[in-house]
Amino acid sequence: MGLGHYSDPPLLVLASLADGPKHGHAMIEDIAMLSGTRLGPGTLYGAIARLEQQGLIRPLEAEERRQPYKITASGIRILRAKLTTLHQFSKAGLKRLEAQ
Amino acid sequence: MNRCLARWLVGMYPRGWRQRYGAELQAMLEDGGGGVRAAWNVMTAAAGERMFPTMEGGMGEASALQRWGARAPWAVFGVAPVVALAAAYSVALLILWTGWQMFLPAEKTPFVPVDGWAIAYFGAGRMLYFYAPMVVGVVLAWAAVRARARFLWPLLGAMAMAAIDGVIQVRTVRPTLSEAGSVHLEFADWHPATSIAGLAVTILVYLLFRARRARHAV
Repeated sequence: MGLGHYSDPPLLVLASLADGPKHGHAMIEDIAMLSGTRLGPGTLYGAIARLEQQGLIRPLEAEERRQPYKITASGIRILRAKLTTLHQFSKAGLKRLEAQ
Repeated sequence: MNRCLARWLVGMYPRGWRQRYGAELQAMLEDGGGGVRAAWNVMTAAAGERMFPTMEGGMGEASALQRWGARAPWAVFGVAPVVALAAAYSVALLILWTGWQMFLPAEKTPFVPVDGWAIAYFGAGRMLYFYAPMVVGVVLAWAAVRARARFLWPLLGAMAMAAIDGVIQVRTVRPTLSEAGSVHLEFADWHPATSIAGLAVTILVYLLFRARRARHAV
């Protein structure tokens, strides 16, 4: 039975930008490698728009037709908090499995 | 992806969104290929953006719906859906009455077997009559989520619509064939199943819209 891949587009975009600025294509490839989820272009840009509105990422100077984005300090803070929660959740879940 | 197709897909987004992200999304679609799956993904994302805009309400600005929803929630989520339902029922009754005059001038009631164009004509009225509560309920749910309204007024609006849907019934009167006859709505026995089903659909759609909105938030 397949439970699918982890899919939370805004969080995946933040995680992808955590190791440096990237443009859309690079984010899709990086996210696919990182999580096994291949975001569609509409989903990716939906997440980018929301993250930019919330001040969690910001655009850098365009490179020809490509627009790179960078994570902001607030974005790093939110990402760290979210990943810490997920980490605690997965640790607790795995511990319960081991106890069986 | 073909340039025309990419431009057409990007054109589905609202103007404000397009002005900000349209060029880069189009460039990405043109350069990156992507077939039917990518096109479908962009179409659904554009539809989502139209329903729950990212650009609207950003930077501390509230949308018109949010402003009105906050200023007069009783009007937007309580009275407006009931008025919309009444308008839909009025149009349905108009279709029934005009169809009766056009296709069944020798009948004392329009509720008789019909054929030809009359099937489509009466069918349109019947669809409007039966599906209006559901359509208005879906719009109410969408408006409540988009305006980030509190649950109370949308719930009262949905309950009022469900109550009306459960008790309303069409009556037709034509004492003699020389008269035009009349159609009207009247309150009859309450059908709880109809009301509960209508209310359940509205609440379910509201929860789905809320889940969708939450999924895209960080």
